[in-house]
Amino acid sequence: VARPTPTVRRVGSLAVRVLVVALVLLAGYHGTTGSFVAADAGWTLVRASNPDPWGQFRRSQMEYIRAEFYRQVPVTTTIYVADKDSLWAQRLVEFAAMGRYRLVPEHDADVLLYVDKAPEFKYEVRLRVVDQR
Amino acid sequence: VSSLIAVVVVAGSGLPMAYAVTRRPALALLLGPLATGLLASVAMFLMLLIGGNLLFWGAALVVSQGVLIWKLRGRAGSPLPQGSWVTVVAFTAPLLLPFMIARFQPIEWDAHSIWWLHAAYFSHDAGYARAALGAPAFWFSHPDYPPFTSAPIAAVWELLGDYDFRVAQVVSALTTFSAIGLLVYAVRRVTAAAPAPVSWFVAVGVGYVTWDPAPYSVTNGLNDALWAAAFGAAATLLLFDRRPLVDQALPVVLMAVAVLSKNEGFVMAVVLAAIVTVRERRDLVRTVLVWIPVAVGAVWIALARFFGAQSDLAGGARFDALVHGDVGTRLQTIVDAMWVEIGVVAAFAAAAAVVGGTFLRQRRRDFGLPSDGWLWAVNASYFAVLILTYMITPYGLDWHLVTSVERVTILNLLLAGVSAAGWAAVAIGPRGAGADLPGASAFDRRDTVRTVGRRPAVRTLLADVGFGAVHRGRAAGVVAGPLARPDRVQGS
Repeated sequence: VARPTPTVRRVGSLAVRVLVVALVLLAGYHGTTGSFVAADAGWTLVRASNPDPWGQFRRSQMEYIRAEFYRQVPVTTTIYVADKDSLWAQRLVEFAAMGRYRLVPEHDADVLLYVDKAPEFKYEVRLRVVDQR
Repeated sequence: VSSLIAVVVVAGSGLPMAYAVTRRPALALLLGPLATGLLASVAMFLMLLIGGNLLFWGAALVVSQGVLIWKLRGRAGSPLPQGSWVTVVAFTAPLLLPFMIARFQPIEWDAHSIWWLHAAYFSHDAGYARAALGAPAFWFSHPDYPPFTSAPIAAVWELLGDYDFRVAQVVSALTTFSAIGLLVYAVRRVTAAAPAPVSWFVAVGVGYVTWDPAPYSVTNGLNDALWAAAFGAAATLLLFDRRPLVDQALPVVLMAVAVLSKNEGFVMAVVLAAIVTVRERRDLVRTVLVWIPVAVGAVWIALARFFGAQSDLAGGARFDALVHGDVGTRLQTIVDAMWVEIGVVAAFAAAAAVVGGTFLRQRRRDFGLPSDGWLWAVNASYFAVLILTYMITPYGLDWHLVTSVERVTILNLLLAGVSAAGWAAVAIGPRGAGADLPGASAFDRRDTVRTVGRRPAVRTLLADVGFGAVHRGRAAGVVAGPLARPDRVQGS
């Protein structure tokens, strides 16, 4: 077998290096699309006068329900989150922890908490506190 | 205003520790939020163990780290390479573009249901936190998940006296940004022998990969990107750096961040520590440090168990799914779902690694880059961990995959990206045609000698984390290290 000449080896080495760089660029092209999506979405958000209106609505709902919770339920009350909708059940537990409330089993609780939903309510939600003392 | 205060507190509280680790102001600023997160996590451990509240222990730790580091300031430490202001700003600034997505409202489901809920029950006092960990009402939120993400939020909320969702998101985004920045730093450092623009390009590229599978998840209160980037940075520094066990402080800190962020982080820290130990078996004493994060993770697991926190997997794992039923179908479903997220990128990166490993091995050695085989071993281990996790999931498999697979595969992509970045740098080559010490540029300003001889183990370890008394210069008892040996030069 004839040994490759230095020129052939140099060309071969260059070809391999180009191939490796090309493969890495392809990996990079496919692997960084998300960052461009994020940058694009982020730029839109930064420029918009009312960015993320749906997110703003959901946040307003949460902050409204939380404020109602603390207004209607004294912190010494033992509570049970009875709502079955996992979004609001989990939010009520979160707000209870923020407010340092005691969460207890249903039959021990002073009050049961629900979130009702209807278009006519403020932010389309309403806290319902059922006293079972 | 609250968000601004949060930024200052989170960036600033851990600065002394961050500076001790890096000895570079620019890198310290980048590492600051993660150092603060670690201090807050340790404060949480102390609160759970001893009592009191998070703010008290946090303040105590911030003050004592300052005093400790002031006491240790006389020790010769060496600044980390590639840590100048220009270098750090150059690779950090491009990350701000995708980071803008942090403007989304703070409404992510898992952010509220897991991390901010945990922050809420950690923010009052030891009594409430201990009770919450074992309370059935909180089980849906996985109280056994580690505290790194929640602890600094809890501390800032307590400090401000207000449970602002936006503040929580800002704290979370800041720690995540810090982790991604350090991943980029790690890649920039190991590829520093390449021309600076090439090293910069591949490093920023790897950072951008963090946003790939799930752009919304990076800066909006979730921590999948945080732990993956921190772990990826640690793995890069420990397995892909020319001198992996010198200056272990930064990778050890990053491992601790990963361990205290996610349960997968603990599993993978055990894998990484084991791989480092096997790889550096001739120098076992030096590998002790990488087990510290594992120990820290074990402390959290013990605490969580002690206070009754339930683990969804350990508690409800269906190991029977591994032997009974449609094992093949489940496996196929899992692999298919993961392929969608990582397949193309991993395939191109693996192809680059195979071609490079076959034809450019000598060139890689001349460049000063270790084999990427270890990184792929970590990557494969994580792949296996994910498959096992999904196989034994107590939830419906389809639901579990749909809700998580795009976020949990970030680490696979990052590790593939680090390997690819290394090969691109090797293929393009060291900077300057006549660079007679390829790779040396990565360690300019650093010691080119390595201490050996009969030093007590403790002092060896102190030196490794940057507190060495004899670490630099021509002190007696040192011999020429790897950089003093003229390496084979490409083309010579």
